[in-house]
Amino acid sequence: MSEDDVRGLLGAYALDAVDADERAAVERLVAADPEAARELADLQAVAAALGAAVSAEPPAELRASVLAAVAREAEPALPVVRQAKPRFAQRWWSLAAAVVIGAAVPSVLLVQQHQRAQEAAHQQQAIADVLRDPSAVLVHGEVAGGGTATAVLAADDAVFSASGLPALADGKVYQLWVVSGDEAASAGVLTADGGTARKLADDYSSGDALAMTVEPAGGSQQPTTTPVVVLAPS
Amino acid sequence: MLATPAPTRRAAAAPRARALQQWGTLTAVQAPDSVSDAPALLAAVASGDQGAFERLYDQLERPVFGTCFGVLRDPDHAAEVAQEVWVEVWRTASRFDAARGSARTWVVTLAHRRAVDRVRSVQAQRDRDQRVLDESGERPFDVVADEVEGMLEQVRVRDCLGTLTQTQHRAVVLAYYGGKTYREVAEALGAALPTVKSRIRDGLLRLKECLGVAA
Repeated sequence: MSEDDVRGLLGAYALDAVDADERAAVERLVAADPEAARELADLQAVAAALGAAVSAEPPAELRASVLAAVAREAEPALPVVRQAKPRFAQRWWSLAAAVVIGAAVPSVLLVQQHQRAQEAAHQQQAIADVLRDPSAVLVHGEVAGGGTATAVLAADDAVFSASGLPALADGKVYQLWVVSGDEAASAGVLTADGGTARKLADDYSSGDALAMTVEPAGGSQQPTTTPVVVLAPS
Repeated sequence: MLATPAPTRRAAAAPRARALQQWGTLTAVQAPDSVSDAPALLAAVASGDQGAFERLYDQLERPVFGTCFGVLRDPDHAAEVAQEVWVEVWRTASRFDAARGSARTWVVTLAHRRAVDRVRSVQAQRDRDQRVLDESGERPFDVVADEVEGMLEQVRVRDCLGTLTQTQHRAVVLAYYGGKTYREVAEALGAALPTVKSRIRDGLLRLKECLGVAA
């Protein structure tokens, strides 16, 4: 292509209407020729006005989804780990043992119901985000008493799932915890349908572990029994 | 044991109201230095400033999504591509050169390119599947023009498109909103390649005059 041929492509280039070779040729031209670069800048500003003139309402969840994706980009990548053996009797357990076993507190229930309603809206997107996270780690473990648990641990969330769980006695539920050092924070009571349970732990941060315990109906504020499974990165 | 609950760091799961509340406080404190013009925001984004990214996003969400939607004509595809565009803005903000145009043009240009890439990869897939004659595969000028021009909220842009000659008008609309190469445009219009190249360029220069756009 002669230089004039390439110059003649500036308009088509501004509309992304050229092929890869032509695109490269135009980019070489504007890198070397300030006048061509000026003309292209004008043409691109016109093209951008054509795009910006389209009236379309962005979906409401797009903003949060973009900001979460960028927050993940900004995080240092997690080390890639394969399988982890279940770990029992973590240090936090010795502290949890000191907690008086309590019945369900109604306010906790209300909070959990509220959280569940909010989760429903965000969960689908969040799970998709976790699964797309290239730094996510998959861990498996056997559940004491029966069943297996799997978690995908990403930088900012984790998705927990278990199957083959034995049915619990009346008044007992499975509860999921995010364990960070000596502290356990509830990730919510699990609904085990036919021995299968799934939960998004959106308070999870890189390095934390997930643990599941059996708790009185309604769940506990802190674990009151030894976890039946602990899933931790590395 | 858990006097302070672990902070939720992911924005997608956090209700937007909470984020706004946080920013409300910060903005009040930071107002005097806070950068708000897009080029300065892009420079801050290039240095890894997520707050600046958020402000840039809020300024340019609509033109980016509108550009993707204009080309893809499907809200789900447009949202998917828009998200990819924003992640690319985050990764490549350091390549923005203020001497070569506005930040807005830079971001919207990127959005258009990615939307066109998507159209072409879908088209290539369709060709591989030998379903070229699929009715949605070919979008004649009238369809593209009607669909798109009905969506133009800026009357001035619509009016200015109306001042182009018919060939200029068709070539610009088919290439920009139809995602077609100028070769495909030439084929669709039954015009010679050099004619189409020059009509596109002349059409854009005329739009520039009419819109009073400068880089």
